[in-house]
Amino acid sequence: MVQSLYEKLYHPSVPASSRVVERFDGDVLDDRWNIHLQSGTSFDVDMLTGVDNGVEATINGEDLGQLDFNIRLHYSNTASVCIWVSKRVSTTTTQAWNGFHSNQALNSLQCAFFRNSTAETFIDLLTGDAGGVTAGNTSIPVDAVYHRYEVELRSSNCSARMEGILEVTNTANLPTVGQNPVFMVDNLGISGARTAQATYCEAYNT
Amino acid sequence: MVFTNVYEMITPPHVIKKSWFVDYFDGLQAKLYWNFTNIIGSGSSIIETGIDAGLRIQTGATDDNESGINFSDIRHYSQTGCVPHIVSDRDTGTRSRGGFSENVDMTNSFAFVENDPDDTFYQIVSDDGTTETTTDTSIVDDILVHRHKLELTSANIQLTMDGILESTKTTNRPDQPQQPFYAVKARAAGSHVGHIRYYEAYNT
Repeated sequence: MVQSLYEKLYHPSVPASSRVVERFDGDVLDDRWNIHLQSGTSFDVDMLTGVDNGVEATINGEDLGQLDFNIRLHYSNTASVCIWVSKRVSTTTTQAWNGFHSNQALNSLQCAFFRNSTAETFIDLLTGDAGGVTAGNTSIPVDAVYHRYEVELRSSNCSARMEGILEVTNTANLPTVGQNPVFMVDNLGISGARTAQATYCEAYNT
Repeated sequence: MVFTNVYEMITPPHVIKKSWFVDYFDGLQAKLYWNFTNIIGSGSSIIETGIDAGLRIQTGATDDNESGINFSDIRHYSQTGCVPHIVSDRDTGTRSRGGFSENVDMTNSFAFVENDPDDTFYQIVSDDGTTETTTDTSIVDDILVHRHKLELTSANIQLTMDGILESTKTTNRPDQPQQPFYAVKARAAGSHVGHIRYYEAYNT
């Protein structure tokens, strides 16, 4: 009987790669996360009570806040996966990002993440290298409900799945540096409190 | 096979699960359940950036300085029935020891896999609280990343590296409950470094 998670996830001859599994459980946010206020008045991160609730992130004022690893870039830009279960809560002038990023700026450079924005028609995949960005639409209209988001970075493309179904593959402007998981909420420059929630994040190198 | 719970991935439902933990050394900082100890000198630890980097432990700047992580003498693991899985590496001037120890400074019983530039081969090193002895593997010491699995039973200690059973040790095995442990020791002047990116332990 296999008794270790190791032997369930890896061949015994393979040294395990980096992995994070976060369920956003308990009383306070795990201290693996960096709470980053890019600008604005405040960025509030609270654990929610209620069945299947996780963490809620609220940006106040104008601009964005994000959860990340403070640029501990453990995940390969050519061989990694990031899964989030999350939703945008606010329904006006809000965008929520989840996936991989390598910096803390309001840009889409050196990244691979989903964007669920009230300014768009469909949820889309953004990939960025040092100089440009490619956006690829999924078939899912933007909404304010939970989804399972999965981005997979490979050397030649980035695929995006929602609820396990391949929605879009970007082949241009793929990130060229290592990544860390990111969960971001932005108010699109319109002052006010904007909120997004997440219940799960898993990232690993393939 | 699809599991709806982690429990049944690794433990049958009729079995009461014993102590178990997994750490990938991910995120912003080491988990609070780890205690950092300077055994000799003044070292440091930090979650390092870089793909698969994990936790970096650095010794103080003098030969024989040694630092490591442990559970601050919270000993959940049985000396006669436990396993650690460790993925780690070290630099050229470092001795690394990963496994279990009774105390934070290795002054009593323990069981480690040791990778020491002052030796020739990877070894099992264990102490019964009185006497420390070693048993070689056939793997030459190196600075590569390896997966190490130690299994402590009532009869012996077995070391599996990268999936291959390398060595069995029957002498001077720990006689008291153990805690997870990983430490690096400078084998030359200057600060030296080891990395650990996975630690899993459980009682069998």
